[in-house]
Amino acid sequence: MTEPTPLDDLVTAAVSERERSFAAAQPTEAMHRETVRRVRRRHVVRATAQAGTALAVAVVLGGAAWWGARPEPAPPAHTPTPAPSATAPATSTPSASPTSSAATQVDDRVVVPGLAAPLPRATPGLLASTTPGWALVRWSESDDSPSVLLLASPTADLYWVAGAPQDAPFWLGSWQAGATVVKGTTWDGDATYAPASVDLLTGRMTTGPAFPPGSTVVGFSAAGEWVLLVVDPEIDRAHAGYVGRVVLADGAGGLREITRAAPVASTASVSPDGRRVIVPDHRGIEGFVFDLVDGSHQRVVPSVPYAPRCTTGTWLDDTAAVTVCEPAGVGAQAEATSVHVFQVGTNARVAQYVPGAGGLVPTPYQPLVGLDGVLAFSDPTSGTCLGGSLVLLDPRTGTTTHVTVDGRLVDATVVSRGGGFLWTREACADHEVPSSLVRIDPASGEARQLVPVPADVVGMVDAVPATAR
Amino acid sequence: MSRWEPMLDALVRERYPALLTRATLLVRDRHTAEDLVQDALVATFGGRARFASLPEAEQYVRRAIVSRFYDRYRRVVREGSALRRVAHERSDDTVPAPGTSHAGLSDALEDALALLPPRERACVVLRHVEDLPVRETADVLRLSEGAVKRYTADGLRTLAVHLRVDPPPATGTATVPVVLTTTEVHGD
Repeated sequence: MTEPTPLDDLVTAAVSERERSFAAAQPTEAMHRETVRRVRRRHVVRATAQAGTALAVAVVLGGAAWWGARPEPAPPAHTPTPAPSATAPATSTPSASPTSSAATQVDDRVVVPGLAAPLPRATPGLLASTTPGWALVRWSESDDSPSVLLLASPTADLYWVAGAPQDAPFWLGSWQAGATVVKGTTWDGDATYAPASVDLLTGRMTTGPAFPPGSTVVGFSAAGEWVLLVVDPEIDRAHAGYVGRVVLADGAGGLREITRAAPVASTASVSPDGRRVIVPDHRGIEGFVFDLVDGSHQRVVPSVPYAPRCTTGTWLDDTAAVTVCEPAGVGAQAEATSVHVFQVGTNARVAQYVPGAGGLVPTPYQPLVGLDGVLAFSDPTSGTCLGGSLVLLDPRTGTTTHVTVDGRLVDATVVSRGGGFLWTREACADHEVPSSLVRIDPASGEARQLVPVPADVVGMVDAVPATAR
Repeated sequence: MSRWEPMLDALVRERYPALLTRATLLVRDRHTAEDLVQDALVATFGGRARFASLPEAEQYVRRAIVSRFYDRYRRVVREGSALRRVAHERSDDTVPAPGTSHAGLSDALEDALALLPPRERACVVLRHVEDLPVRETADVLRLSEGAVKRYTADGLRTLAVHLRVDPPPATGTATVPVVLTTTEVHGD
């Protein structure tokens, strides 16, 4: 039986607290009468239909979303109009209506559900010519349907690559520009992740031996190895928190531990060039930077004013990292939160940013991504959705810039990064808009949306930019 | 009076606070939560299932709350951007800015859940509040088991960050921030 985690305990306590606060809650008399009326109607409709009268049985079946029921299949997707993007795809000819299958071929092009125009195929020559600026995208019509792999150019042209592996899940991980193989991760169906590679010319997936139990893939090294954080759940959480090890996996079963004698905590961040990883020690007090090439390590904690909570681990670029601190006793306030940049090699703090009143600053616990020397995060005070709009902060100069696409703010939660890209998810709390891939110019904040946001299918579920290494 | 009516009455009388709590985990607005509970009651008692006990009926309704929530989201996505804008304009949900102090633990949890996309929210509630296994969660939400695992892991990781607790041990592929609590500078 799995032991409850601290998060489980918190959830249980919070739910109990809310139930107690609702102790006197009851529906109004009118609401209860309406409930009873609607249930009676359903029973009448069903009984009448069973008696052979031509009534809308679908009313009952379609609404039977209770446990164990299966609804009628959804109708095939219709041809949508893609949301406006910064640049229209090069292939904008009218398309045949997409079907509910993963993709269908029309002449030399492929119809993909949710995309207005059929896509040309990515040829071996095109794949070989890709450079940093291109990206692979996994696209899906629905949560349950097969996904496909697409290629996005820096100018937002889309190409069909292959159907994504269907027998097991595949999450994109690392793709070198010009390569016809993409590395990623799959689930072994039991309890752990495993390395996987997909041949972009055939769509065939090759799986390696499963990673050690408790493994999380936190990135890829410059040599193309999977960087794992392996957590040992047996360690006493009350004293040490989770204890993890950083391990490099070659994908064929070979494992090389980096952390050795320095037990580390359960989070880690790989530098953009894949040469280093930052991890806290197992007490969460000090930090280490490990060189993934030669295995050397260095204690590193930036010199910052005393603060009870700092978050370190966002790489600003290949050799500089950022610490975000909030002061003792208060929530993160824009006036008091500080951002510190330190150089990994020397541990020297090279910049400190403390915003003035009303200034924009990330909080220590929100998603934060470094992008060629600037930090990207969501500013909840701007934008039309509740998560906020995307903002760039240069902590060395204090300059903040709102990201725009065609002059409009980008409502987004930062999700992932790589090679000048940000994978964003629009942050409307009450509903979900499909993810998109934007390429951002860190200097100007101007962005180009590379993948359309469809109206009636899931769309992009995963992406990886081409790297130069 | 039909057979189901006494059970429906008893369930509402005795367990409405628990049902409303489940709905509030998914939608912050009280009126929307009440609507969700009503829909779930109608779906459950208007269906074919027969319940031997009140706890059994409650279990069905609690799962129906999540599936009805998720169905609403799917309907919004299917029906396109116009409805999305309407749905957003109708919502009274508010999400406090990150770091804002909370009135209590329940507010903190509900604020954090509100930041999750609907499918992650639904998976986390079914897996970690209702304690459903992966397979049954997949059945309720009509998702693949792999999708449930991924959405649950992503949602838990986000919750852990916002609630400032240790993240779950086996998660997905995204990097996460590192927490330090010291100010000393060391060098080798």
